[in-house]
Amino acid sequence: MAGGGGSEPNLTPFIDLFSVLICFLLMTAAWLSLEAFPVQIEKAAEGATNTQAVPDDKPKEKKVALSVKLGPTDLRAKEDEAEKIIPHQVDGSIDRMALENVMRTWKQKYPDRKDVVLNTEGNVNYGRMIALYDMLIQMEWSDVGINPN
Amino acid sequence: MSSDGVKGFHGRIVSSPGYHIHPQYDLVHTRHLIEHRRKKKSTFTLNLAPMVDMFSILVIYLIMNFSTEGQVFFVSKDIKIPKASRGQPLKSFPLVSIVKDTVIFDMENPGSQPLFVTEPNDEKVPQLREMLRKVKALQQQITSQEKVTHQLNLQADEGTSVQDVKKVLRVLIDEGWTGINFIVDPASQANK
Repeated sequence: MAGGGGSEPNLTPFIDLFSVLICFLLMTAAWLSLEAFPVQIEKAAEGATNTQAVPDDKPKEKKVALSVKLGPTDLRAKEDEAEKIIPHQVDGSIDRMALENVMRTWKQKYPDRKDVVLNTEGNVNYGRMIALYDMLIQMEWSDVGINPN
Repeated sequence: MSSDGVKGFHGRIVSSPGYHIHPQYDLVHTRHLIEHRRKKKSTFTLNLAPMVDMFSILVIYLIMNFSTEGQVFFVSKDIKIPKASRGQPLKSFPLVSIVKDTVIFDMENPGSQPLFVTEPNDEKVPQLREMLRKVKALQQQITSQEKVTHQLNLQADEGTSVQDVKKVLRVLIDEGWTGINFIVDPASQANK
């Protein structure tokens, strides 16, 4: 500056700008970060009963219905008619190891499958259903459908 | 009293007021100190540099936490969101909440009042059904497509019975809302 030393930047516009920016950011801040499980109910319900999409000239192969039913005392992994009962642990939580074994077996039998239907009995809590849903996704069964009936 | 109006004798004639303390007892240094302080106080200026520093840090922190993704509009104090580790980022959709025996529909409506319905959670829920139809028609008008996947977010307390959640699910499916997103809390690993 021609005036020499002693010149200071005018900080008032900076403060104005920052104040406005802070107000905007505080108003739009995500204080509670949440996530979601997208559930395609209709698709899942269809998946339990429909047949696989195959070319018309080949005989239609029936798709094996894989489902897991959460009850208050046990978990029933159903592969068509074959059912495996996995009792809950002493503290009432799901036996993760046993479920993992079943799901691994299914994965070996049906490597292309990612869909499984989650059924629940009436007296089960929503939180436990979500916990099971989360477990199934962790076990690489990403297309989990919830039976609304 | 004399005739010229001067009171007293010549040694005590009233003179113009000045500094009253006799120099013999004057505390010069103290007087100067007091005057200096008074002058300093009158020319006090706020040092803005630390204030700007503080604002800068605050702005950087808020920008780092800023998200353009829509958040849930309202979380009731009666709802404890279940924990999960494999959720996906939440998007802005109409929100359906199940709070005890009540079902609540909440949706932001740009330019006008938010759309809000609350009623007991039974199989009928006429107000909720009507609102779902209204919003669906609105969305179809905006997108001008017949086959739009109507999505919404659903939140419920982790202690809610699955039956109550399924009641709402059936209503939503009946009304053509098949894209349902269960809201979960990613705060900790849910390995229970």
